[in-house]
Amino acid sequence: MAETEQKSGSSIGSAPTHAIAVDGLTRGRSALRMADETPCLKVQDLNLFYSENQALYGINMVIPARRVTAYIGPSGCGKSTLLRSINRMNDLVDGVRIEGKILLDEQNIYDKAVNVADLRRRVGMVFQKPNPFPKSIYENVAYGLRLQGVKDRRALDEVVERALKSAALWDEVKDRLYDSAFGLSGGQQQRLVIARAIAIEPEVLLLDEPASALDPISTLKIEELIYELKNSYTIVIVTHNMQQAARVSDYTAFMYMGKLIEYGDTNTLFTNPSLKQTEDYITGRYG
Amino acid sequence: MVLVLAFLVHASWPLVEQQGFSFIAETEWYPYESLYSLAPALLGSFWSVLLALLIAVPMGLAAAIMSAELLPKQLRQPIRFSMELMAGIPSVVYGLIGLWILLPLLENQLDLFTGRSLLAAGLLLAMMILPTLMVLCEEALRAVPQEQRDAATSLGLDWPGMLRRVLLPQAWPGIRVAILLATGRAMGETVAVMLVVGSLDRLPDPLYNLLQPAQTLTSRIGREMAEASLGSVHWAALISCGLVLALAAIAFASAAQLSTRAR
Repeated sequence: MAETEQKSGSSIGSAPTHAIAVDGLTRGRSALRMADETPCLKVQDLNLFYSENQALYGINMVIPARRVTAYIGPSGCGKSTLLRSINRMNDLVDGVRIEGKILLDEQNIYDKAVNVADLRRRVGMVFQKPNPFPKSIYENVAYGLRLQGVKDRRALDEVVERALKSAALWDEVKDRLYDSAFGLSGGQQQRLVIARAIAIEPEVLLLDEPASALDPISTLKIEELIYELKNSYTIVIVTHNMQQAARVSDYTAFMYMGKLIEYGDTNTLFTNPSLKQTEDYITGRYG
Repeated sequence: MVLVLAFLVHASWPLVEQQGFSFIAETEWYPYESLYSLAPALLGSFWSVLLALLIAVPMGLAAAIMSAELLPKQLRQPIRFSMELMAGIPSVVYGLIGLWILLPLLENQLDLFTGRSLLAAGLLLAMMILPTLMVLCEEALRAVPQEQRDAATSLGLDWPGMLRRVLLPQAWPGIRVAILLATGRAMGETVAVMLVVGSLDRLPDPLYNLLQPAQTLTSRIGREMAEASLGSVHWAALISCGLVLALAAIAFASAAQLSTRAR
């Protein structure tokens, strides 16, 4: 026991070996400062309970607009739960209870006056497993607009094309827009689902381990896509893959056991974490 | 199956020999005058099954939606269990319930001379196929993957919207099979129907009159088979009722099979 503590303790003093690897990935990124950012979401004293079990403890964080914020942490640390609180997907879970606030553009999304369906149109979400509807590629992308009652064919065509282009899928599917979405590969399906989410022009895009079910090439495409999309959307991503967090995110939040342990710009968090717990996790000592 | 059909065709042949194929369209069935026609019973079967479906399908589907989507999980198992029990009750028991409760109720409420009618048969059949319908529809709804629900929710669909646009369309192949199976069951049900339908061999007047005593294919066979002498035309006529039923049942089973495969 004492020995292990000493071991991990000693690595704090020496230069962290992982820093070199991560540095290569994050090099060339200009220094980011939270103070310079426009806040998009503010999480305030958020507690979340599943029946008797508390899953989130007093989370406070500001998520900047048009940046990529990553949640990392071991399985069950609450990062997905926190993500799903932002578009109130947790509301659907039996026995869930939420305290605190999440402000989107200064309005508390848990306020009684908030229309949850509207909220979810403003905060789009992409899940771990690609989940296109059993419809054509075109109809999948047009789905959100059809829900809003858009019938004009030309307007739909335009949005579908724009969304598919934004999702870097257009060139691969433009000749088979009316084929079933199930004929696409997993990576293509995931980009289709992203296209479906951005077709209704949300402000925020939540990505819940969007690449964890994909092969490395598809993963790379999704990561490139995320990099492009942050010009237009505020992106929050949950990932198990720390290299991925380092590659795609501007800010990173490390969570453990339902608590937000450390939160800061990705460069600093990965190369010079201020807490030993964070360092232990990113160097792979637990999790 | 081929043997069964071959037997039915062979055994009903004397009827065709005597009357040709006009027996299908004839409206009179008087065994004592050697008049046999399928039309009244065919129509009776049609009306009673249609009525049963019109009542039981919406109810079964609504109950399935309640149980699969709305009620707390703890209630699902007991509800399901009781539905399976209900589906397993022998049909003659349903018939007795019909005699004891349904007929007096209809007589009093509708001021009828007798409650025995296609309406009674339809209501009773509805009650009998409801559990099967509900259990199968519930399974179909529960089979819609969580990912699809998540997708719908995250696009801003509220619950009624999700039900209409995602759950029901995706569960539809299963629901269709449930309806086809329930139709088969309702069509073939004999004893319970026999007890409440009135067994009067005549075309309803007007044709959609459900309040008169009537006859179905199954109740006719059940009631008269013991009286018909083996090999007589009467006997053959009853067998032909069975042939029509068997053909209809095969048609429905095949349709159910096909739609499962199309899935």
